[in-house]
Amino acid sequence: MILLSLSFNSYSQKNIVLIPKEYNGLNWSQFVEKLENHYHIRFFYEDDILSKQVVSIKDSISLNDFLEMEMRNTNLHFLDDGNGNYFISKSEISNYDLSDLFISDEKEPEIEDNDKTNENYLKTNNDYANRTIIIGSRKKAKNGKKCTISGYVRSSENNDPIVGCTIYIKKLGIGAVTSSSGYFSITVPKGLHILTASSIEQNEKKITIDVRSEGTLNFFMEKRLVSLDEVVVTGDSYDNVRSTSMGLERLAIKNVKYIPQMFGEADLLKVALMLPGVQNTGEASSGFNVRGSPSDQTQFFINNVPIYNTSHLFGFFSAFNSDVVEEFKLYKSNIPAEYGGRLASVFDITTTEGNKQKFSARGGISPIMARLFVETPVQKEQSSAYVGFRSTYSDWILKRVQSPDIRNSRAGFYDVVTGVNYKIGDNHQIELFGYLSSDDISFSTLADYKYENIGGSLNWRYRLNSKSKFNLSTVYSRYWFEEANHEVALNAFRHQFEIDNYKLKGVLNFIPNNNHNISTGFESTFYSIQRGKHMPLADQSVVSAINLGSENSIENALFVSDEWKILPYFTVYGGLRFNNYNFLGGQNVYHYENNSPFEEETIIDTSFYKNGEIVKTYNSFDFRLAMNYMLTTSLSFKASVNSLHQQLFQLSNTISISPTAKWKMADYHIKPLEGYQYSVGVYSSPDATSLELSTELYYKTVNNLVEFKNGADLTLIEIPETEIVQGDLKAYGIEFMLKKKSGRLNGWLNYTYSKSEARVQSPIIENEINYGNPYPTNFDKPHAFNLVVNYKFNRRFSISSNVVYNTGKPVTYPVGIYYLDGRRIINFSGRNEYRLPDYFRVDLSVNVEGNLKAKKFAHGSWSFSVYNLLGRKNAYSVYFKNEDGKINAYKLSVFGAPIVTLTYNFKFGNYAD
Amino acid sequence: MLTKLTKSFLFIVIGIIANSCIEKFDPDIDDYDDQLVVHGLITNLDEPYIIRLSKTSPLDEPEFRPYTGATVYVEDDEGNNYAFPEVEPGIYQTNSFTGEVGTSYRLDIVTATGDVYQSDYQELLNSSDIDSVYTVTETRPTEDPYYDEVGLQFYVSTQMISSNQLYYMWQLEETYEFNSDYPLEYTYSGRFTPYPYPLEFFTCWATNQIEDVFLFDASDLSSNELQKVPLQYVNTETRRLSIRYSLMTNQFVINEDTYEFFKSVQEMNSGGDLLYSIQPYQITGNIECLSNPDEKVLGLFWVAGKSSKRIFIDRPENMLFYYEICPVNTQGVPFISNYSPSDWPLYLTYNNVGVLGIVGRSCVDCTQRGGFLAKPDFWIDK
Repeated sequence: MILLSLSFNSYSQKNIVLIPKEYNGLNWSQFVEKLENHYHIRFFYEDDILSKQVVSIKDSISLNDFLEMEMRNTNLHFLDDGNGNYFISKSEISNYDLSDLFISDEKEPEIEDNDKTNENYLKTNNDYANRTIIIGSRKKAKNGKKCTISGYVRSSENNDPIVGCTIYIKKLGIGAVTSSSGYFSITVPKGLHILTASSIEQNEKKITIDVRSEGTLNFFMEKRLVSLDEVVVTGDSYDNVRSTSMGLERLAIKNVKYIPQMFGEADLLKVALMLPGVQNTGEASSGFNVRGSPSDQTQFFINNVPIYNTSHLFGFFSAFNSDVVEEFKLYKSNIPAEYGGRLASVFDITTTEGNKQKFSARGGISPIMARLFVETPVQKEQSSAYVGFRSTYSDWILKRVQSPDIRNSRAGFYDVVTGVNYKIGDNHQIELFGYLSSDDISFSTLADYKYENIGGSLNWRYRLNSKSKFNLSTVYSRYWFEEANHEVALNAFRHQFEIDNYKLKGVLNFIPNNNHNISTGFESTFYSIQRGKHMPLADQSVVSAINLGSENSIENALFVSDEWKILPYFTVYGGLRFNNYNFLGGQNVYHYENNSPFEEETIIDTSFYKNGEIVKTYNSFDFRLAMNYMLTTSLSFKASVNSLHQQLFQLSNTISISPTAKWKMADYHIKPLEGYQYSVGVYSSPDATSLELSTELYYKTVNNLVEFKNGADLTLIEIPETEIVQGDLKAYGIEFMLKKKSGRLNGWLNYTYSKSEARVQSPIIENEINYGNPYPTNFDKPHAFNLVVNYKFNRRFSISSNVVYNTGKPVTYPVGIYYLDGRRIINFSGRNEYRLPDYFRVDLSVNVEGNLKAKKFAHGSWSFSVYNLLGRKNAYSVYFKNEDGKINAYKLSVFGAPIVTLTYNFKFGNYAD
Repeated sequence: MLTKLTKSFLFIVIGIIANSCIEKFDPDIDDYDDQLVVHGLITNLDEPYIIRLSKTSPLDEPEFRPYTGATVYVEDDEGNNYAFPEVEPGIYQTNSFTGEVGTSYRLDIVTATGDVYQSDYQELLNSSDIDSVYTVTETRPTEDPYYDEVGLQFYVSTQMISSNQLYYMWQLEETYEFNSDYPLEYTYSGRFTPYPYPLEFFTCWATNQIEDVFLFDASDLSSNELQKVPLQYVNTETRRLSIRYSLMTNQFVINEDTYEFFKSVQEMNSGGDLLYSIQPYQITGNIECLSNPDEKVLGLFWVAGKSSKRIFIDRPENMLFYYEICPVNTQGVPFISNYSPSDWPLYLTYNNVGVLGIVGRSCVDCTQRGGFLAKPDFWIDK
């Protein structure tokens, strides 16, 4: 029981001298923070014992002498372990007691086999956490071999919970993942185990635990100091191989900071496009096409708030402030049962929790926009508040564009994210969150567009016991747009659309033991759509006001899922979701002649449903099945089958989705979309490498796909079913992904081969698209290759590059000319029969960090980035004009030249701060 | 374990932004096959009615490819038949009847090979009179940010007489008087010959059909007057407005299907919105092949209440014209004998200071610029 620090004296930081000028008058947390910043030392103490103290240093004094003195005055004890770790406690401390700092429920001096413990300790040198931590006590131990350990993993930097951290005991092949509150629970046999914790942004941590009874294990993880080389996508090597989740991609904002991007703006969603299976229809398109599905089949949540339009300014920027976003998860094959209502994928965006310790602010200025983010504790340790704001001043760029339409346009947008988190005791947490994104775009003198997403959520997290927790959310979200068209004064109009939804969702998570992870809950959403208000705009306008009326519906769902570890190497995930969708009145429902197309002329009867009356109910069962079979500890085979239903969809007949595409719900005549996806995959993470290889094969079908009839008038659809036709979609593909997660050279490379084909057939010719023949969807790009690579020469200098290649998107070309009364008319091919030229882009960025001095006021870094380095004029679209009797083809490239941005970043503190 | 105060600012020192760009493009198109194209119009006016039958032509050789030898007739809902004999290849014409408002008409075609085509019945709507066609001086931005073009925007105002006149189409034909840049003073074919009638090729009239059709959907209007519906825009970069300009406006009261058809034509021919262009498609009309339902027929048989109005516009005052005028090559005259006889005759005129010089033929002969020397019958001088 002699202090082991003696043997490590050479590592001790005895030479730290405290100068009154620097340290006198600080309170303890400032004092500790300053020391931790300047020296490679770390303090461990319970927050309440020192927080009120003020440090008083009159003369220069060595740190250890000072502590000795100070502790004597306050009846506290401290221990310097010789490795720069300082422990302060109310009671006498020995190295063995260090574990008590992490264990809240038991303190019991234990007599141990010294040799063994020493061995553990000696092996680990500078890693404090690598000592044996005793959990529980033998006295408390119950009969039976297994004990449940639970606790919280938090960030050593700001005490934030670490979400999605994998806790894994390699020898036993068991593991757990932390929840959104950082909570985990794992059941292990009694005895000594080495527990590995890893997460995206933190250093991997190994903890040796000695389990004696049930107990708590709370610990901190350190932020990785060198984020320069980080382009890592997934949490850790085991996660992808061991979990049953397929097609799950995770990306954290900090990790994509150095990837070269358009206008130097760190944009998480744009990086998502470099993941396998994620496409869009070009630079100016909102929404993502995941695995061959239209963009309305992907749902976006930011802290549970659904977002209907995820982009600013015609899709050039995503509507999420990078300072606020912590990470996103993208589920593209096995979608957990708690999510429903969209067929293709779920983007789950998580914001920062707000700093509960300290006021903090960051911000940025780019040629396009400025942003500011502020976070502060409200009550220290208990509650935090944050607000992020971003706004543009991009008009000057538009003025430089040649086309008069764009030159005379104005573009304004801003977004605000704000939240408050409040912890009540150990078991309750309340979170309030608000989001607003607003665009105001004036397109030349022709039209103005305004659109806005606004939403908020109130979450209550309740930890019932070590094995179960409950989460209740109430969510409100609204999207609206207004189009003002003054092209022709006579029929100048203003058109408004709005969708609102109110949601209540409860999820109960229950982990009875290591082999089961059960989740169950309900979701109830009320949707209201204002289908369109059409109003005259100017005095001369003789447009008559039209109100298309509103649509209401209520969607209820019950879900249950279990992740069941049948064998140590075989895990099955099963989920069931019951959807009950009710389309509500007041509504006129039209009835049509049998076997004739839905047209105004064929209406034979109308029935009226009163407000709130159920017009039509659609009930459906969704199932989710996934399994993971571990062939070796680093190689697994997975398969999944999903069935899903979608009641809300977007109406669009443009190639890229515009901000004014309306949302529509399934109604009396238009049926909900129905989808199935089958995937299989092999995942490998070879030992002793930072490589991760995976391949996934998928096949999906969608029934009741919604398409517009050719030439449908979009603004004023009085009777939707007369303009809409329903068809089928079929998509399949294979994705290969190779990741190197760390090292000087890191990044990822992926290749996807995929097909996506739609078909709209009908006995009535007018209702068919492409005469009933199948056609490739607008986002069908069979070959897609992405390379994201970062090479770090040293700590100060690194180079990153992207290489993006994909097959040109499908396009409908003119194939002939004909004449009507002397006028030339272009005759087009079948839909999407041709393809645009292939897309190819290389981006490059060079990052240079300022000097690495520890003591400095501010740290600067330079980032020089070139988007589209080769200046390739990638076709966004091709269109044809009938000019002077000739049909001319034109190619529009959104970026026709390299975009060079030189960025200077600076922050207060040193490189590592 | 405790947060460090970090405050970071992102400061962009230089941002060079590239422009988006539009350039000509040569797609590789190989998918062409012949399709039958039908166009026919019956109006309420006593005028010859024409049905045109043709075949589609490849993109690189656009031409009217007549479809000959068919039997064409129009049938009304009372069972009357009107034959359209072929007067020129692909042109089937009659003036044996006049369309009656309220009657429905159908087109029938039987080809030489025995294929049968038929349209649906189309009801003839009453025409309404055009109140006025007038111009307003307007400027428009161009690709050059520092230069706006100037010109005349034409507008039409008209009245709806009955509640079923909801869809309108205007087709335009322009005729304009213009001059050559110079009178023809001399020709040279080895020696100078004074031209006897220097102004013989000086004044011309040119007539063009305006390619665009103009449509208006009045079904959402609260008033029964259509005012200031924009038609074409004519700038001052050409000679069209330089002396006197006439615009013939044909107004058609059409039904919804016809409106949709021409709306599609407009959409498919314009290229549309830059970023959010709509999905192109083959425009289907109202003609079906009865003998082979899988065969797709292009074009439209339509009936419309027609009215017309012609207006004349003099050269706008206080408006600058920007078309190019031929340079007069005075320096070449001493060396005129060096020109090869194959270039003869050379044309000569006096420049603005009265010095003789050589010019191209189109500078002294307006017929070279698409004009005719004969004044049209309808032309009214200023």
